[in-house]
Amino acid sequence: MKSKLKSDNNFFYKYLLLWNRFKNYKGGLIGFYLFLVVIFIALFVPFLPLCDPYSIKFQSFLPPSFSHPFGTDEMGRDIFSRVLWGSRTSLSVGFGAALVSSIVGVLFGSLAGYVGGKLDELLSRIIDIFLMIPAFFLILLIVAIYGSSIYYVMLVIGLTTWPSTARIVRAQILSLKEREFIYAQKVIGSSTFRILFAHLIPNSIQPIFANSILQVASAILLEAGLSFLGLGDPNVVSWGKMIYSGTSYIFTSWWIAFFPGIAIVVTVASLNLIGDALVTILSPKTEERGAYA
Amino acid sequence: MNLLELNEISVEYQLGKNNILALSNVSFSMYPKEILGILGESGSGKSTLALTIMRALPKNARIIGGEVIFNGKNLLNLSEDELNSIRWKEISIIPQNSMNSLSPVHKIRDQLRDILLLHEPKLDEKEVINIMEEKLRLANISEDVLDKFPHQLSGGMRQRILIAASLLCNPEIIIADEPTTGLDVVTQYQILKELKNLQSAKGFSMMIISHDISVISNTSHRTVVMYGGKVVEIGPSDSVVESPLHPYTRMLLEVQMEISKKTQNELHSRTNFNKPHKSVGVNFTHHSGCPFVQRCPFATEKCKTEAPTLLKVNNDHYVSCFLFNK
Amino acid sequence: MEWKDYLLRRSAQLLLTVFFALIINFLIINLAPGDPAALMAGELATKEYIEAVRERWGLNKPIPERLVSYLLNVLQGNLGYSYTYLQSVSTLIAERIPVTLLLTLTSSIIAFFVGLLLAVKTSQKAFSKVDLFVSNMMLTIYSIPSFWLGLMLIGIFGVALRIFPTSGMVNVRSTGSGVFLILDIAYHSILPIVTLATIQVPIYYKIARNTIVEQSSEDYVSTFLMAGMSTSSIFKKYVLRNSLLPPVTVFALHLGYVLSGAALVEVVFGWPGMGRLLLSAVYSRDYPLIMGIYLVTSITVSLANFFVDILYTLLDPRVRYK
Repeated sequence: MKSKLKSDNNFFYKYLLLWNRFKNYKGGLIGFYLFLVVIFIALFVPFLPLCDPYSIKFQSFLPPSFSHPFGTDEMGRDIFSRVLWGSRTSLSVGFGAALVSSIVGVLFGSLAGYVGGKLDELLSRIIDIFLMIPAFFLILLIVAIYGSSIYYVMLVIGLTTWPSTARIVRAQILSLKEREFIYAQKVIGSSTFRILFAHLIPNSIQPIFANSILQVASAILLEAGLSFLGLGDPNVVSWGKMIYSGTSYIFTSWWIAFFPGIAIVVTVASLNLIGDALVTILSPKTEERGAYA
Repeated sequence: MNLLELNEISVEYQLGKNNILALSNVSFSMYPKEILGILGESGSGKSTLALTIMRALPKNARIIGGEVIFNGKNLLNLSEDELNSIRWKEISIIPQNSMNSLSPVHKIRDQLRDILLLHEPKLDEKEVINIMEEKLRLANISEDVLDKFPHQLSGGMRQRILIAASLLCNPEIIIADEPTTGLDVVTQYQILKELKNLQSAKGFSMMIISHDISVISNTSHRTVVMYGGKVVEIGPSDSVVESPLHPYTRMLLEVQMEISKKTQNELHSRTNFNKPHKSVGVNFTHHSGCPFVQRCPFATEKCKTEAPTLLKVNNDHYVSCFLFNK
Repeated sequence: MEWKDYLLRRSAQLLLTVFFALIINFLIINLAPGDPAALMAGELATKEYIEAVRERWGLNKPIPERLVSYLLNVLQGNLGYSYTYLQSVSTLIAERIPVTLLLTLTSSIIAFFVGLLLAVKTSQKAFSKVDLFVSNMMLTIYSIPSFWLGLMLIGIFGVALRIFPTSGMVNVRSTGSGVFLILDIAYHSILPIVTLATIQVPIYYKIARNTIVEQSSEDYVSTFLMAGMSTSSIFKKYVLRNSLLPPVTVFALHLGYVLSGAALVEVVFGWPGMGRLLLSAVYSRDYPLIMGIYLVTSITVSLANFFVDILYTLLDPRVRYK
């Protein structure tokens, strides 16, 4: 009886269970290992024995070779080093944007779900409308006017993609708030704030987690698109920008655009594979099938 | 002469890494022109039984033994084509009623026509319509429903359409799987009465599957009681109700008596009979011994290790319980 | 009538969405650092021109009046004046939208059928190795940036194999007309359409596969099976028909994503549509033009969603108007 009234807050155990189920999804597992590699590169790239990604001391348009595995670009910079350094930009934009999006999404979603009534109706309507506005063009407009520093790009992507998180959180809260342990909290007089932040949100974190991983992936693609159009942060190495400079040389030096693109595909695919496996695991339909099949 | 004979049928489900026995050596026969009731709670294997006869088990189920003899042929050995000529034409089913027992985006007319034309391809449009309307009238529903979609109809109307559909090809056997589930008490009563009248008028045999002992005892001539994938008692319905033999049947009747004044819904929740269909097999993790051993007030050590077999107690009344050995 | 009520409510929602997009645009102009009139007039504008713009858009008035004057302008089809093209934004966009829609719609239709076909094949063996492999392949394709894919196709088929043209919508040296012009455009559009279709296939595949798998275990399938219908007939007559609608809605839901993909692909292929316009607008910081493109795409996506929702109520008898 007691356990029924307490929310299940044992995170470690929960995630161990999640991992045990995740292991059965080959695609997700491959994604996970790929992603570990990408993270490792992004974290330790300053300590790797690489050429300076900004140095223009090499000959231009060198094809891939032993000393320059990915060749050199039009300004004589080492593409291999630039691709590895570019992971930092993509990952920070991806995670930064997903973080902003999750915070805003959780806030609005839980408010709509928990308070309900008129506020829920209003917020749900805003979420619906927001989902219909093509994010890329809005982001582009804002970045073009307000500036394209990497922090701006993160913030803007996050602030335009939160509705999908909000929608998931709202649905979670709606189903959780009728459960016994929440009722028990109300009976013992816990504050709304405490119920929301100590019980409801922590218990709906797993679906948000899966969604956030997919959002990191889409934010990385958005950033690549922006910098391809020349709206990325001019002070950092960005895969999208590298591909744009490669377009002019596709007739002669394919490697300039090729390798940064592969880097994007590997990074984004690893996240999509993880996210998709998690979404499948966490959807209630899978549990049903798992019991039946 | 037996119309349908089930011999030693065993079916197992694969659930994750476990195999679970849903039917274990089930044998009984169906006589011509009788109503045979199959009584059992969820998980007793009664719906699996219907799906086995129709050979429409889900993909994770496997028939591991036994035969279903109809007109001298073992249905389990027939090719898909041979089987399809028997399905519906000889043996039809009134499937468990649900929102999607029929396709939600096709009109009733198109669905009934498709089924009819499968078996009577030479009929022209007019004959098809005549037959459909005739069967709908038999099932006591207006032919207006032909141009409706399933979601536009009430549960009772959908049940009647499923009954009309089962009559389309004048089969010899109709299997009604929980024909009253989800209906209000009045409609339940009407539909059961209509099914009974139809059976005596048309002279087909009918198998009624239900968890509700009152449904079975009010309709069927003979009753098969199932528990844990096994037949525990077979006999004429009157004698099963008046002098039940198996401890499980007795328990069911006591529960029924105790709460006879209460509504059907309460019966469901009290006896926990309305568990979802997918819980099939929760009780059969043990393979040896009597399936009822854990709930049986008369259980002995023997019951845990040895499985009793069906034993004739008196005229056409069989039971599978050690209490009746000698 | 129920349906009329729904139509009315859905139209109100459409207007609300468009209004919301306008408000965002308005806020962006007015919250921008510096003088909004200078922003609208362009970097090289003279003082007189800036003042004229300020007057025209009511930017010298308090915020509520500005909003009214902004909405009135937009309502009259005035999206501003592009100072790089020296043309009105609405004319510029109207000229290029058909070209972009040609790419978008053709590629969406192709992607719909390819995705559906793949889903039909793999859903027969749901959860098998082939099915999982295709699903993971689709996730990987979904991770490819459209512009990079286009560039690689140019590299392979245009540069290395020399089968397809690498840029433009027509051959600049030919003076063909009529059928020849159409054939020329078709020839030039193969690579961009393939690029755009490829990035959309995973979207249609995923929804179609999941729907078919779900529908295949519906109760009606077992009803027809027990009625003696063959599995293939059940699939063709019933399961497929029940699985067609969700992929159709996906078209509208992902139109925004596809339009942004189209814009980037156009840049790669030198396709004279909105994408090229957007690129040059970004380069010369032609704000009225960028805003115009944002507004027009928002309205296009809202309209598409509106029409698909209405179409849905006509195609699916179950829809309850809520």
